[in-house]
Amino acid sequence: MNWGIILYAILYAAICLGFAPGGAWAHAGLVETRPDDGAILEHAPGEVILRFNEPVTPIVVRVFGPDGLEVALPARPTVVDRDLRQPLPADLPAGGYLVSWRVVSSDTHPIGGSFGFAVGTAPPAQVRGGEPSGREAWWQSAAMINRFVGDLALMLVAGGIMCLVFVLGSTPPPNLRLGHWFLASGTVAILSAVLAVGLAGGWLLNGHASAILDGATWAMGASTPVAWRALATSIGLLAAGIGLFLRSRTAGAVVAVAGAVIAVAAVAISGHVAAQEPAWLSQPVLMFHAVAAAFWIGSLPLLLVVVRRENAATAARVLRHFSGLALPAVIVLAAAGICVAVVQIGTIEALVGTKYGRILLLKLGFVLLLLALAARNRLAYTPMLAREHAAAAHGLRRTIRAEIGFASVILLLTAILAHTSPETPAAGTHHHHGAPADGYIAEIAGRDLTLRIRIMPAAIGTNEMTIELTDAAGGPVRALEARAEFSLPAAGIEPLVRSLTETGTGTYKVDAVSLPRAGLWHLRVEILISDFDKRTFEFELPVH
Amino acid sequence: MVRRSIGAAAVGAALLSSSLAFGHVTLEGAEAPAGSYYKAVLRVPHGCAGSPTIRIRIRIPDGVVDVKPQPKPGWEVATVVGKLAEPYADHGRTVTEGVREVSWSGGRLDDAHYDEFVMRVKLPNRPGEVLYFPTVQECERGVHRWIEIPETGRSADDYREPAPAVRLVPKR
Repeated sequence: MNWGIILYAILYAAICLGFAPGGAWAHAGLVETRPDDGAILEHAPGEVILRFNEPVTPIVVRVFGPDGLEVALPARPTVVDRDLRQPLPADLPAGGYLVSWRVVSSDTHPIGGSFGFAVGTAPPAQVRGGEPSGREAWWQSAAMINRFVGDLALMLVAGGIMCLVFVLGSTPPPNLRLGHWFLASGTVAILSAVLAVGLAGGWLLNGHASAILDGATWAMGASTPVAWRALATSIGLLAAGIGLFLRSRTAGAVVAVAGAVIAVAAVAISGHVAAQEPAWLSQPVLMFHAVAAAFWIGSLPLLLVVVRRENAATAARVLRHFSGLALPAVIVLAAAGICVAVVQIGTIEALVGTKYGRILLLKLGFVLLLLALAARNRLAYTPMLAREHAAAAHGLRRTIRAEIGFASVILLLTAILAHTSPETPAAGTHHHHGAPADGYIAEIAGRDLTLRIRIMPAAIGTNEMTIELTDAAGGPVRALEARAEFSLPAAGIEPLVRSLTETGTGTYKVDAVSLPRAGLWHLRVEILISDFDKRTFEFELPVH
Repeated sequence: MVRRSIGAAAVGAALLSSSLAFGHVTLEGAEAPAGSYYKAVLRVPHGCAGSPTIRIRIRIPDGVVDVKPQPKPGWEVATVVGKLAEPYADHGRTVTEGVREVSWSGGRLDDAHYDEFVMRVKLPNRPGEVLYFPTVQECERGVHRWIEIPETGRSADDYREPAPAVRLVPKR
């Protein structure tokens, strides 16, 4: 295990989380690479060399091959003075390659970038389209299943504690079995939250499954927000556990509920919903959504026990009390859920047209079923139970069990959604997406300059990018310089920088940009209007 | 390793406590009294990825007048004079032209060295405003354009190459 890397990863995490003024130490810089960016080589190189203007410590170097998959590298990079050397496997097949690097300079400032080269005499003859690589899919599925198990356990324990305090009005747990139930689901929730850190790291590094035992994988995971979520969930659940057994019942109830709420609200720390702008809206809304859901789902097993154990009158009283609290909770849940969905999806078109939208619709369907069951409990069975109708308890037990089943399916769909990209355009810009056959077309109107961009075919492999600059009156605008940066943060691909060449008045072009992976790429275009005036445009570019 | 950890911890502490941009071209003193004469000291902490600095160009923001660059041994100072955006009155006459750009060239400032470029200017009497002095740093190989002016709601920290700036505070 390399402690240096771990240390830097933690430091990097702190920087990413916004403790630091961005870019304040912009000192180290890449001076040159071997092979050159864009070089076409007759023979495959044995290594790539990156020369910096000062000594650096490598964090990660990744190479993507002509098939769009990451190339397994024979060894870690070594640094001698200002040169970073990354050995390559022998006999790389012909085709285009992308090298993505990230290093820390001696002043602890992390910097990264990408460059490309091709092997073979012909220009980069890329590439096939395709799904994420097998290994990436493996990490993603593992993270998804872990998320489902963890979320379910978390909702059961945290929601159960809320139900215990608010509905049953009793702490500590009235019997040992309930204590064991909380202990078991709480333990699963914490273990899963911790495992999520390793899986997040594994997904980023995209190594073999055994990398989960590697310290560097965990260090990479620790540099993501998932680590903060794990920390908040664990602390919240431990606090809740302590609160349950405090001698002072009032203080105990307060601590237990606060801990449970913190543990659940931690979902707002990570994930693309939490990252969706505006964050001030997305994050609190997500918290309310999760806490309300936890209360509902976590209450169900406790209610099941009440219906089974208690006499009809007591059970009816408890159920009515629960309904009184559950109704506002469901309203909060639905309102927050709709709010998140609107921000994430935006249009009806996207709701039906994207994978994310369709899974969301499926989730919504199960939510409606769940609501129907809950309404039946409240409107039909509970009054029957109060009248000590014989069939009531049996019917209630059956519908509560069904509710638990549906809730689990909903959580599974939620975990799948969490690992599906919603593909919404960047906030605050006016995008017009073309059909995939037309590539990607978008337009952003700035203060005094409008940029129209077209990327063909917006697919894995070689892409052509053209831009058109116009002023407020629609006339063409000439730029001194235009450059574009392509990055894919989700796959750890650092910015690949390309200069555009002028093809006509106000139109610029890059012939061949090699994009090795599918996903939502971040595209930043910088237009230099005069020596002293620059405009920056940012796009989210879906690559299929 | 221990020493590196301590170093990292110290840097971490510095990150938390300050937003001084050591790696950027900046103006010394983040604030100056509005309507006063101001000695603008441009600090250049490094070249362009190892390459030495050979020319500095500063664009004078609107409202800044009476610009006098300080000559610098080894460097040739030059100004570009043009129409002012806002003509102003000076002792009974109207001034419509002034320095729009200042440059120092012909010198060689190594990447490993630090230097300062100085000019005296008169600041507009507009307290509360932030004035930006977009600066182009030309090197033997490459160029840094410290010309990014933050949009409303964002700070210079959000940019990679922010323009040097000074905030105008009320006159004492």
